[in-house]
Amino acid sequence: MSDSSNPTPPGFSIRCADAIELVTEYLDDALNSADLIAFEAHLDGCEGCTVFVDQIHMTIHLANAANDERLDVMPADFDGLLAQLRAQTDRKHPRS
Amino acid sequence: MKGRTSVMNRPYVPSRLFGDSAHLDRPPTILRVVSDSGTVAALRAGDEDAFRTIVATLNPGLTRLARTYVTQAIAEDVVQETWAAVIKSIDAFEERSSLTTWIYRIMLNKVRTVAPREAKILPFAAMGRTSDGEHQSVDPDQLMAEGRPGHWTTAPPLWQRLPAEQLESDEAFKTITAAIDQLPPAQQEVVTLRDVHGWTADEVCHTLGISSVNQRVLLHRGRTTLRSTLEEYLTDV
Repeated sequence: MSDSSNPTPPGFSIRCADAIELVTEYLDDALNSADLIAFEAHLDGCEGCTVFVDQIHMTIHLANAANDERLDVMPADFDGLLAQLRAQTDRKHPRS
Repeated sequence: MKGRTSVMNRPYVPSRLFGDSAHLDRPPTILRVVSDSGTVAALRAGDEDAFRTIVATLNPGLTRLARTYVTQAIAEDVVQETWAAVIKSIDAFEERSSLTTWIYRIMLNKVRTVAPREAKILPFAAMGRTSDGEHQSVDPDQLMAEGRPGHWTTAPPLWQRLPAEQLESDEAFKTITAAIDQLPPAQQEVVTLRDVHGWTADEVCHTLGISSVNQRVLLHRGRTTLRSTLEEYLTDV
C-alpha cells in the first residue's frame, strides 16, 4: 500500500492513512489475516492510530449512550391498536 | 495505557482487547426480543401483555429509524400503521427471519413508500478503502507528518484525559445526536442501527437488504464523520 514517494518508517508496512480506513473492518473482526497482521503491527508502533481507534470506540459509546432519548415509548393511539387486536382475536376465536 | 480508567458512567472498554460489541452495555434490542420464542404464538393468541411488551420494546427504535426518512410526526404515523399491520399479518408471518427484523421491514416498506429514496447502491469507486473526494475519514491536514505524508502530524488527543463532565455532558450527547441527524441518510440508517441500537452487522444487512461491504463502508464513513465532529466539539470547549 506504500510506494517510494510515501516512505513508511521501519516496521510500518502500512501508512496511518491506510490503517484508518481499516478500523471499521478491524472492529468487526472482518479483516483478512494479512491485513490484520499489518494493522496490528502498525498499531503497535503508532500512538496516533492507537488513539484514533480509542476515539472511534468512544464515539460508538457516546452514540449508544445517546440512545436514551425522550421518544414516546408507546404509539399515540395504542388503545386503538389494542382494540384492533381484540377484534381480530374475537374473529378468530368467537366467544359463544 | 495501564491504569487508564473510564470517565464515563458506564464501563469503557479499551479497544484492542475486545472485538465488536464490547462497547455495549446491554444486549442489542433485537436479541432481547427474539430470545422470547413464545412471543409470536402469544401475539397470534391475542395476548395483550405480549403485544404491549413488544410495542414498548421496539417502538422507540422504529420511530428513530423512520425519522431518518421523514419528519417526527410522519414517523410516528408510519410506526402506528406498522403495528396495525403487525396485528393484521402476524398469522401470515412465516418466521424465516426474526420477529424484530420482520417488523422493521414492515416499517421500512411503509416509510420508503412515503419517502422514496435513491437506491443505496454506492458507485464502485466508493467501495474502496481509501477516502475519495466526498468523504475524508480524517482531515488530510492531520496526516501530513514532515517527510511522511499519510502519517499523523501529531497524535490526536486522548479523550480519556478530558474531564468527565465534558465527555458526559448533555452538550456532548446533543452534539453527537445532531451529528447523526446530519449524516447522509444511508449512513444515518446504518449508524443508528449499529451504534445507537447496538445491532450486529448481519442484523443490519438482513434488515436493510444491503451487502456486508456496503454496510461497512456506510458505517465507516458515518463513524469517522461523528469522530471528527466530536473532536471539534471537544477541542473547542
